[in-house]
Amino acid sequence: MGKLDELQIRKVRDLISPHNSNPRKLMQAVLQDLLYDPPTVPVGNTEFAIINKDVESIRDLLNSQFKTSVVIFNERYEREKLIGRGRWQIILPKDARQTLKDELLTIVEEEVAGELIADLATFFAAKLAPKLRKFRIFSLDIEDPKEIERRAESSFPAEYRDTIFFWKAGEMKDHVRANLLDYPFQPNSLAFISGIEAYPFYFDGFPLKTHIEFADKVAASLKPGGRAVFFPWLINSEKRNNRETLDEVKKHWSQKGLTIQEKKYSYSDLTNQMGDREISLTMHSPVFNKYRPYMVALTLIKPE
Amino acid sequence: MSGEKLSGGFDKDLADDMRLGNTPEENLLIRLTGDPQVNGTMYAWGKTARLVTQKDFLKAVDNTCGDFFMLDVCSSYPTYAQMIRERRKQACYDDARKIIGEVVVSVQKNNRVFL
Repeated sequence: MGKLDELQIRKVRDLISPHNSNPRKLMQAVLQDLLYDPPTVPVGNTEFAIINKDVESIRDLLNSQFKTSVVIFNERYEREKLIGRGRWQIILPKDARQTLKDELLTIVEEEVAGELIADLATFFAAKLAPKLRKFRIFSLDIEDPKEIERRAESSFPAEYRDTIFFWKAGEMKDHVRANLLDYPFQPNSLAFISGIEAYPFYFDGFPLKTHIEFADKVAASLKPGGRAVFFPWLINSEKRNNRETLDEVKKHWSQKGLTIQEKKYSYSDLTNQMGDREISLTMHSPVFNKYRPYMVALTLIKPE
Repeated sequence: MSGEKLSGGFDKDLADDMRLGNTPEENLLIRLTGDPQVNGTMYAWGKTARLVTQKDFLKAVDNTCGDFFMLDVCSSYPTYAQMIRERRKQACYDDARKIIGEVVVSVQKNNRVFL
């Protein structure tokens, strides 16, 4: 960058300093895309791919992206009147396709613009490489997704349905239709599992053997350092043998070396922080429609 | 009391008491799809799920290496999964802004480390 004189540095500064300047948003869009969907490289001749964290490869990719048209992003809030009570903040593409290089060419010569982009790419690659990680969020349900969608369409309030958030959830990205007991996940594959009004709440009447087999699958599928949260930690029908079953499941996990933590939530702890829709759900939910002084969330932690 | 066992060791008396199906799978299906007023299919917890799991989710992010795959079981309409996806996107957006901010500060200070 030795070729930039004081005047050019001042021009670059004026170009990228404003928060909403196009060059700044163009750089940000490229970085955001890379963080959200990192580049991968295949392993051998298999379909398996791993994140490419090689700084030079990332630099080359950025160098190319800064010269390519990209879609810039904006933050948007839905259901604005519900600030603090269920307002959704989403990131949406804004339809403006430009390149960082074109913006730089308005203030410097082509050669200097190319060098500036190369320097930016080198700087950003070093910052991004350690942060790159593949994130995938799976959902699983035994029911036909079309039926789930139909019920959501008929039971969610219109103000929820008429949102981009609701529509995006309905795309059922990475949604698996499966019986939970078949549990189609490989050992050491999941970093986090959540079960809200799920297991063990609806697993009444299953023999202890089935619970233990499921507990084994959950324990095996967690990665080292991974966690699972089950809420509420109870079976809907609070019979003595159900409580004994859950105690056996906890004992089994402990014997396998997993740590168990329990957190109590009172009814008011939960309802005080709910949005409108969830308040109405509590009136129908079997989790909430029996009086219980508190409910427990059970956290399972696999050692690192 | 018949004491009869259904497939999977499921207790028939218990099933009859609770008006459930003849197999554990059928039982689960009825539980999850039967009466929409009392089962989970119309609920799809969102904010509550996030608040109950948030602390452990963030610990799992910090304490695991490599790919981060999460699973929400018995999700119904996958509101919570989408909420996590949106928060991930927001985190990437914020990270990108922060890194760009470092470049801007560097240029504003006319810092030759970068320029």
